Amino acid sequence: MTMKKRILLVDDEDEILSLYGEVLAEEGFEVLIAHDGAEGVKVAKQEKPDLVLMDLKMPVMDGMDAFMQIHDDPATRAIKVVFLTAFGDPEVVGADIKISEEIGAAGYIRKGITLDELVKKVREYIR
Amino acid sequence: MLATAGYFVFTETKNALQQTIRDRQSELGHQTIDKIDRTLFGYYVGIQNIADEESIQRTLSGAVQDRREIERRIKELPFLTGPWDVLKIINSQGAIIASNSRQDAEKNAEIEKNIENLAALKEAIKGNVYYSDFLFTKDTGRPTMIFAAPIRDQETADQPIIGVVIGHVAWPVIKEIIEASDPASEFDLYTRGGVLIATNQESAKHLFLKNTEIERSLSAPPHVANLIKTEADEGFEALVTRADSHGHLAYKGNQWALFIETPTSIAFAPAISTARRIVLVLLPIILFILFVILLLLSSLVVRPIVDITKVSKVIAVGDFSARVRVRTKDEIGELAISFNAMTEKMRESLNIINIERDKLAKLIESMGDSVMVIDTEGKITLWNYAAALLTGWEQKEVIGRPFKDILKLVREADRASNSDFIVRAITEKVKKSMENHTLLIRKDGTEIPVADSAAPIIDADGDVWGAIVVFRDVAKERELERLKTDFVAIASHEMRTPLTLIKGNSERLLKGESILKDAKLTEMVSSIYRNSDRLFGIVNDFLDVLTLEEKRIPLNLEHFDLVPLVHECVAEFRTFAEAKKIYLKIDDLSASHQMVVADRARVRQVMINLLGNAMRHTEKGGVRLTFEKQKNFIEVSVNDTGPGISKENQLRLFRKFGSIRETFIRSKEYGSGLGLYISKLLIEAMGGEIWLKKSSPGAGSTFSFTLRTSTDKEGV
Repeated sequence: MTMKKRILLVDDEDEILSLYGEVLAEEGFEVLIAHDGAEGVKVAKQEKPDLVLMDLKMPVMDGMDAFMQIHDDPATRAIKVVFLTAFGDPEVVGADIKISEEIGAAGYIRKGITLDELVKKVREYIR
Repeated sequence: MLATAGYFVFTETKNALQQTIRDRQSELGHQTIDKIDRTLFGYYVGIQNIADEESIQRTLSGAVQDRREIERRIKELPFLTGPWDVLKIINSQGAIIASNSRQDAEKNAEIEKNIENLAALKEAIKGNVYYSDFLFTKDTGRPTMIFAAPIRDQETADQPIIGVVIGHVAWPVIKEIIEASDPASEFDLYTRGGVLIATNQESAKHLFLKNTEIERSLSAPPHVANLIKTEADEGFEALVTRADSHGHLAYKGNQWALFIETPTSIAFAPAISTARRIVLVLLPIILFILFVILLLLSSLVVRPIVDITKVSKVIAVGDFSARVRVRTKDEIGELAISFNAMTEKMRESLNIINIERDKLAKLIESMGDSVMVIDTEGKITLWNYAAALLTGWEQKEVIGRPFKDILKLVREADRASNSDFIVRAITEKVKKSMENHTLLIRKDGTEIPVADSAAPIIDADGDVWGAIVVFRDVAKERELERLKTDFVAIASHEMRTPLTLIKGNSERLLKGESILKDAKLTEMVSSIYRNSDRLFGIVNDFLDVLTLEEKRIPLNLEHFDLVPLVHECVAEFRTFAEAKKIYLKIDDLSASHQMVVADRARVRQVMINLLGNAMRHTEKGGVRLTFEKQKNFIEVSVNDTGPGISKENQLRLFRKFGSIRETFIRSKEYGSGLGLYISKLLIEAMGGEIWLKKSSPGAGSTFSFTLRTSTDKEGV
């Protein structure tokens, strides 16, 4: 049996986690969730998923900090992190590509896209 | 002036009077000499009458022997006629027949021996009436004049001359005429030879003496007379007039000359005194008249003019209530009336100006915005109440001072001075509003964000005489703006998650088999999906606008190939176009590569926006993309065959919330109306332009935008 690819979803919105989680699960991925940046780092370290979808604005620790922690830790550096951005987030609008290049994140996905596109992009990144 | 007039009057009067006196004296002279001549004429006639006496004639003729008649007669006649000093009858032989002289009576029948008589005898014997000049007769030794007339025998034919009567004029008769003259003047009777023969002067030392000077002057023509002679020896001036004897009728006279001499002091004294009197009487009269004229002049002309001058001086100083009193109905009066009317007009105009000026001043003072006016040197000339409140500088502190000392404006970003635009308003005549992010530093050092603008003040000739700067506290505005922005940001942000969920779950539903079996349900869920998507788009646009307006988007500029992007965007609308049965073409892509410098994602956003608008509007025909290469830009145009845009709506195209109603009417897809506005912000941020190239109702529309081209080959 081929191992299912494991995706870690980090978002403070429960319903986002359910929505994206269920869709991805239906597509055959194993889905892990975390509710904030800190939890996300913990799970990432523990479970070492194949892909992390990281929301940016979260309480306790936001996505950027969480990513930094994951990236800095040699144990988790290899993990691909993709930001979930909202269209128009001032911090990342227009700088999406730069983020991926300069910071070392794998890329970004805008939350407003259709679910089909979401799946497509995930498959692209996880490859 | 009066003295000159007086002297002039006096002199003229004196001269006139003197002339009169002169004439009178001359007249008197003529009268006197005429009298003498007439008297002598009397003798002239008298002697002939005696000669005609019958008794004398008959005695001489021998007709009467008795001499007693003749002798008696010869004694009577000198008193009856003449008077004669001597009267003689001499016969043709020269014997004295009768004589009134006793001498002769004693020497009876003597021959006349006297030379003078003999001369007379000789002449009369010829038949002429004879008269001599003045002489001293040897007979009597007295002054006289001898007359003789021939005696004719009347009873004989031819009336032969038988004798002569000779008469000596009793000189006192003549003398008397002269002596009776006014003693104030000297009357001197001269013979032609210059001998003084009668005078009215008592001390007549020159009597009967020859005066050579007189003789000389008498030989000169008569008009030389009447001169004022200066008697050198006696040392005074005298008025001398001369009257010449002309005889009378048959008596021709001896051309004697009568000189009347009056010392000027006496002659002209009356004249001078009369002249003085006249002047003394006249002068007061003249003075009085002059005084009256002066008075009239003054009151009629001078005073009104002085009045006007005084009033105009008062007006010049600024008092416009002064008026001139109108005294007369003439031109001066009219002048006064006009002057007053003019003054009244000026006062009214000044009043109006003052009222308007006050209104304006009040207006400026009551404005909520701060107003500062400076002159060409930068000195403050106006500073309203709002400015004082805002800056903390009182009006009286700032007037006349350079504005740079008072109005301190700095850029928020780098604290650099931000008042160049004010100076440039004057030097370059440009109006400028400063962008936001200017801080005003108040007198006490605190800072307030302000919005300001400066404009030059230009007069009718086009010269700048200052600048007006308006500024206001925008802290509250900014606050509000921030609140609004924050609100929108927060709201939009908050909306995104629910929208994502609605959209996402709707999408899932639509995939569910159970749903798909039920068309109605499918329809409903599709609607939910579409609208949540639309809402999502609106929210995103809001956030986009907010971000773009704050200009804090770091644009991700890169060199990329426009061509594949274009194809990509067009591809997205393929199905839509087919469904709507309209064409979608790309024209004139001259190259397969076109490198540009831009933010790829944003260019995509703009293209989607324009294509979307075009596609939505077009029901028939289609949408076409064209390209035009320019110097440093590539111009992309999206043309549709839709209904076109009216002129009114064209103005609202690229504005926030200024979307065309048609867009909403036909819009089935997402679109908040902010699309064009966002596109404009984006394109301009990338250094290009976006505009409506062409459109008219019924003829479709063409939107164009430009991107900066690059010579780099692709590089991502």
